[in-house]
Amino acid sequence: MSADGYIRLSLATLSNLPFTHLASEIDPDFLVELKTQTVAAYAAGFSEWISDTTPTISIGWGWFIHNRSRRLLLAPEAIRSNVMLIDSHGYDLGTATTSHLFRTWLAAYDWQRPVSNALGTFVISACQF
Amino acid sequence: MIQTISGSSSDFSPELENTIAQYRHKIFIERLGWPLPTENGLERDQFDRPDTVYVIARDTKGEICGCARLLPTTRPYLLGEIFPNLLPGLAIPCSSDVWELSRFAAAPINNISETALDTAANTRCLLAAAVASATEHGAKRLITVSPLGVERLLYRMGVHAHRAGPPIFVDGKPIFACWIEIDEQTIHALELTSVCPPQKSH
Repeated sequence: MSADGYIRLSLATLSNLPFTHLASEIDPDFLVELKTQTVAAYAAGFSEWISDTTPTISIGWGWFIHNRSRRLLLAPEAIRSNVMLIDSHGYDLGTATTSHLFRTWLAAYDWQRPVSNALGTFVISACQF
Repeated sequence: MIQTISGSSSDFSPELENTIAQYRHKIFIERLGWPLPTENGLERDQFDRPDTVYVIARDTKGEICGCARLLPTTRPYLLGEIFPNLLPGLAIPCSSDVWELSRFAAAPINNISETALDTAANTRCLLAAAVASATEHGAKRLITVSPLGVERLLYRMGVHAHRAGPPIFVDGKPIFACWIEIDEQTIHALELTSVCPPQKSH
């Protein structure tokens, strides 16, 4: 871990790390925020994950269930973490690019199933993934 | 438009210090339900010391509508004393250029007509004042213990904030330790060169 508190690694390295689902919850206030932005959300909340490494990588994101398709999707907001992704030369990619690349990683990561299981039958009956 | 003042409790009158404690009681205990010690409708803890720095927001009628508390990490502070488990396996910050931001709230007690836009603007103004005050005391970074929802708020403001470790659940609610870097990104996001620099308390 760097002195500034960031854990620095490349997306390729992160993609090979084991992650554990920490918690997922419904957040009614977040649903209101998404609806204010006219996002077609049926339910919304957050999901927290940690790596099985030392130091521990912590990643969190918002999710929502789409009104019509009932799919469990990433919410339109930054992915939050204690990570600064670096490029192949070791340079910081910055907070915005780090968040964007996390979305790329999550697009191929089976996060929906553990989140659905954690949220229980309400979400399972409502969503597909 | 809110006005902000900053100072240590030794700079404040006993009446103002009492009003701050009453406001904190209204917000953190009555409204948010935090399980904090309370006495006669006042919220204070062991970190409210003569050297603690406060930033107070007041509305156009002079009513307190926001507060923030700043503590140097070179003396006892909330994260180090109460929540060191938010930094598993990591050294607790102890540096003259790291200050802790706590008891942050930008909400009026009585003005139910405040819009979401007002709340967002006032939150930004108070955070800017807190960052400005911390900077005056030598801070280059802030660390906070906050509910998880605050992280989303900081990201949306464009402030350079990042979590220091995984969240933990306290009384069923997730909290986490968060760094706020006082850098160009944060200064720009909070428009720190204009709008509402805190006045010194008299």
